[in-house]
Formats: sequence, structure tokens, C-alpha cells
Amino acid sequence: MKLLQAIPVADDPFVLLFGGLYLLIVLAIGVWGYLNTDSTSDFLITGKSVGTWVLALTAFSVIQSGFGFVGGPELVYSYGMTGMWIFFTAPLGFLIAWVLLARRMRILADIRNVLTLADGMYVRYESAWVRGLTAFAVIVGVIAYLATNLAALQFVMRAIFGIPVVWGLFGGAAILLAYSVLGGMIAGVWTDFVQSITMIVGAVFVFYFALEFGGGMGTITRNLASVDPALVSPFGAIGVPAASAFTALAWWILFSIGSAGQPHLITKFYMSRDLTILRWGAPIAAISYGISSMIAFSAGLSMRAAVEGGTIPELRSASIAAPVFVLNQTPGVVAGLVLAALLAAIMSTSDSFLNIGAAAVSRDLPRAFGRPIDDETTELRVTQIALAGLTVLSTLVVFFSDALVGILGTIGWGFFAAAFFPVAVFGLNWKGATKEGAVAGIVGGLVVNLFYSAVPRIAEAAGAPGVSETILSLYPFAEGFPVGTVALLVSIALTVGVSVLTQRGRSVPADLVTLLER
Amino acid sequence: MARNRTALAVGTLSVAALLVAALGLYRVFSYLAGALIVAVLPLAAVERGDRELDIAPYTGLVAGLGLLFAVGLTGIWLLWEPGTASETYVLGVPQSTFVYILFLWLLPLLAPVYYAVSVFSDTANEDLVADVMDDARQTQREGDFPLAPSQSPGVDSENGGEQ
Repeated sequence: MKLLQAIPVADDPFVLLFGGLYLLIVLAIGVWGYLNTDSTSDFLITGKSVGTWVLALTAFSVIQSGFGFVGGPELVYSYGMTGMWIFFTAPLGFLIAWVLLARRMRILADIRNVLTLADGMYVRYESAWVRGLTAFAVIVGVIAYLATNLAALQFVMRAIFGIPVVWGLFGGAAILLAYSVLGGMIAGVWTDFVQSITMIVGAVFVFYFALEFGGGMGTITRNLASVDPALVSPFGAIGVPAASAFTALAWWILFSIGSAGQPHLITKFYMSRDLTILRWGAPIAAISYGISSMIAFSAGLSMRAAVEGGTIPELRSASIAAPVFVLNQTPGVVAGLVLAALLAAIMSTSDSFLNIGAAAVSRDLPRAFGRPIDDETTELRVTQIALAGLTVLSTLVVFFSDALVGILGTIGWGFFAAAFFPVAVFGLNWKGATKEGAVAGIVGGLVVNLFYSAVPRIAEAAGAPGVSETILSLYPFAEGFPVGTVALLVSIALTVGVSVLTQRGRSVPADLVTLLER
Repeated sequence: MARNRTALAVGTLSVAALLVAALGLYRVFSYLAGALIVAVLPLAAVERGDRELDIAPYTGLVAGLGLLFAVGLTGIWLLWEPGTASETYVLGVPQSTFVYILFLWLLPLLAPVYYAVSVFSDTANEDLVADVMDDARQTQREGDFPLAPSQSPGVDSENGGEQ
């Protein structure tokens, strides 16, 4: 994320106008959300009040994070088409999440008073271990995701408002905290709604200007192919051809199936006003994401083609491809809109993380340890305090330790996918899933992720590169094959295998039988 | 007794994908990846039908996506191999990349639309919700269940242990 420091500071008044306006709108929504939040249910799942468009667009916006707007063009700029196996794949994930989880999670929220993913898994498996492990994984994942998002936020704030990076960090975190802690998920989903529209409109403009800048798709791809044909081949150029194919295909698995394991997405199903609200959610979210993925595709390819063609000088860092493109190659109005959209992408994902993380701290962990907070008002206040605590903790991580942000950055989508896809999907669709299978799946996924992703980074940061090299030498897959996919596949296999071995004489809770059978 | 075949199929595909990836067989891995993505959808039907492997009402979804993925991957492998330096262009992109964009991204975007139009009402309607809720409430009247609406907030986690 340090490399984002190379983003130039905008000097166009439209950028300042759009950025300032956007922040004022989200703060106003936060205050409005506060006035409409009376209970923990309101704070965590909007009191089940959300309609079709808001649900669909909030689902889209929490998945389209700052990574999509910055990391997407960066990947495409660096490796060509490889990265599109993430961004062209994600829409499929909405279908999978909707088919496998949407209606059962929503009806479950009526059968029992579940507010969190850990609640849902607890009532299905009737296991405090499953609830505790789910809460633990949510907290670790949330701190990791949040820190990496705040690390990006500080540079985007600097680019828009021209303020020092440290002010961008603390200012951005303060605004995020203000509207999240005030308005909870009511503010969260409505800011997501505004943010998603900003992102979609911004993406359409970027696509148009990127193609125009590059001289059309044909010119762009031919320029790139003249340098390296692999850049515009189906699997891109992230390594030797076999490695590129493996990386791309593994991302295809991870970002389609893995969507149904993202807690900040699937807990949105609890929030719908009724079941019919869910009908059009998948196509709206999928098509919205499909449009927004045009940013990665067009800006990444166009900028690389321009550099290779000598139209513009080489970038100081691939990670600034999109911000530099919009600041230098689009009108001020568009640049303002797109940078506001980037701010929106970061903040919409972050507020959902904060919400589920705070609930894990205030509700899931105490209940897993047999110490629930019985008073509703007290639980709501503790949730708000936990939300503030998580924001402060993640902000301090970014402020004090680049190394820690880097380590946490390795815990992301794959971490959640491996921890939660098997436990949630098998649990809510298959009576044969057992608590032993769920625990094995969660633990197996976490261990694989931490061992191959986080531990090598920790060893390097601690000055023990030998340990890192030893661990990586034990990795039996092609270089670049994402650890998250390995963890997800291991977790699925463990959940199924252990469940089959332990299911004799087991049954699902009697009041959930019909839910699983219909 | 729980139905296991669809779940076991998904678990087996996961293990197969790991093994094939470790062996470096990327063409085989591509089809396993597609099969795995398609195979998770029938999990939603595991407990619904009268017999195992009855995947209704997701048959159209599974068949459609399966066909698109098969055509897309086969098209890529027929048109592209490592080191391909020149290709025919379609709409500004190499043929093999066009096949990827069309069959593995653009046309699959229609699957959620198909789900909303043709599948959703079979799986989520007022009758279904009424049946599920009636059964659940009847059962809840006969026993204690954590987080059931009639329970006190703390009843779910006495001692914090297994139920």
C-alpha cells in the first residue's frame, strides 16, 4: 500500500467537490441511521427492513472493495488478463450465494432470532465450538481486511483533499467510525446504496474514456500483443503459461464459490424485508459488479498499452494505474466522481466489516463462552463500543506497522471463503453436515491459510527468511497458485469427509428440518 | 439417514482438483474447476427431492452453466496453447480471449436472471414459507430451542457448552 503514495494529489476543484460532498452525504446518512436505530436488531440487521434494490446494491458494494478499483487495474496493468479471472468471476459468486444461502438464511432469521453468522451456525450445529470458532475467524478476518482498506483509504484521502497521509488515515477512519457507530447497519446499507451507484456510474465513464485513450479495444490489444502476446491471452501473463493458467483457474474457483463464504455478504440475507425481496437480488448485484469490473479491464489494459506504446512514461508503481489514469486522462468531473467512487468502494466494504466484527466481539464470543449480555440496550452499547475499538485498533495497526498490514493483507477473501463456505453451505443445505465436520472445516481452512500465507510473511518480518523459504518449499502447487483456493478445497473436503464419518445417529434441530427439506 | 451423494461429489471434486493441481495438469484442472463450480449448485436440492441426485429445480441452471463452461474451456484449449504468438481477433480481442469473455463471463451473467425468472418462485413462495414456519413454531412449542422467539435472551448458551 506504500506504493499508493505515488498517487498524484488532484488539483481539480471537481475532485474536492465530489469528495467533500460524498463524505457529507455519508455522515448525514449516519445521523439519520442513528435516529432510526433502537435495538441490536436494528443496529446489526436493520430490523429486517431492506428492500430489493438496497439489498442487491449493498451486496454488490461490499464485494466491490477498494481492491477492485485499485488492485484490479494494477493486476491487469501488470499481468494482463490473469486478473480478470477475479473480476469477471465475482458476478457468478452472487448467483451461488443466492442459490445456496439466501432464502434459507432469511427464513432461519424468522425461525430463530439470529443476528449474526455465528448465531446461524450455532443454531444449526448446536455447538458452542462452532459459534466460537466462527466468531474468532470473523474477528481475525475483519481486523485484517479493515487494516488493508484503511491503508488504502489514507492515500485516497490524500489524493482527493491534498492532506498529509496521516491526516488522511485518521480523518478517513474518524468519518467511517462516525457513521458506522451512529447508524449501524441502517446507515451502512444506505451509504452502500449511494456508494454503489457512485461506483457504477464511475465505472461506465472510466470504460468509455479508457477505450478512447487507448484508441479502441483493437489498438489496445494489438499494442499489448506486440510486446507480450500472453498479456491478452485468456490466462494472462502472471508467470510461465502453466502458472498463469493455474492462477487464473484457481481464482475462478475462489471468487465464485468463495462468495458464499463472505460473512459481510451473506449476513445481508438476514436483512431483507421478506423472502420476495431476494428474487431479483442476484441479477442486480451480478450485473452491477459486471459493469464495475470494466474499470479493471479497461483502465489496466489501456494504461499498459499507453506505456508500451510510449504515449505516457512508465508508472512509478502498477498500483497507481487507475488513479493516475482518471486524474490525467479524464475531465475533472469524471475524476472527481471516480475518486469519490474509490472512496466509496473502500468505505462500503469497511463499514460492513466493522458491523460483523463488532457483533462477533459483543455477541458471539460472550455467548460462545456462556456469558451472554442479557440486556438488549447494554448489548447495543457494547456493540457500538466494540465497533469503535476495532476501528481504533485497525487504524493503529496501519499507523505503526507496514509489516503488520502486509501480513494481515495475506488474510483476505480466501480466509473467509475457507472458514465459512463449507460450514454455512453444507450446514444449511445438507442434513448430513455435523458439528465435527464444521469444526474440522473451519480449523483446516484457517491452518492452511495461516501456515502458507501469514507465517512466511511473519518469518520474513521477524528476520528469519530461512523459515519462510522452508515453508514455501513445502507448497506443492505452481508458483502463484492462491493459498486461499487450497484452503477452500481442503476445508470443503474436511467438512464433507468428517461429516460423513460422524453423522450416524445425528439429526438437525427439529424446528429446522422442514427448512432444510424445502 | 442423511443424503450424501451430492455432498460427496463436491468433496471428491475438491480433492481431485487439489491432486491435479499438484500434478501440474492445468487442462484437466480447468474442467475440474468448472465441474466444481457447477456441482455446488445442486447442494441446494440435496434434501428436497424424493431421491438422491434429484437436482430439480436447479436442472436448467446446472445444465446451462455446465454447457457454457464446457464450450468456453474447450474453445480456449482449441484456440490457444502456451506460447501462442498470433491469433485472429474478434471485436478487438484475440479469438481465445473472446471465447473466455463470452462463455465464462458474459453469458453466465444471464444465469442469475434465469434464476430470478424461472427458479426462484419454485424455491421461495408464500406457501413454502408458511409450511416451514408452521412446522417450526409447532416444534418450538414442544421443546426448548436456543434463540427461538419465545426464549429469553440468555437461554441459548447456558454453561457455554455443547447442547
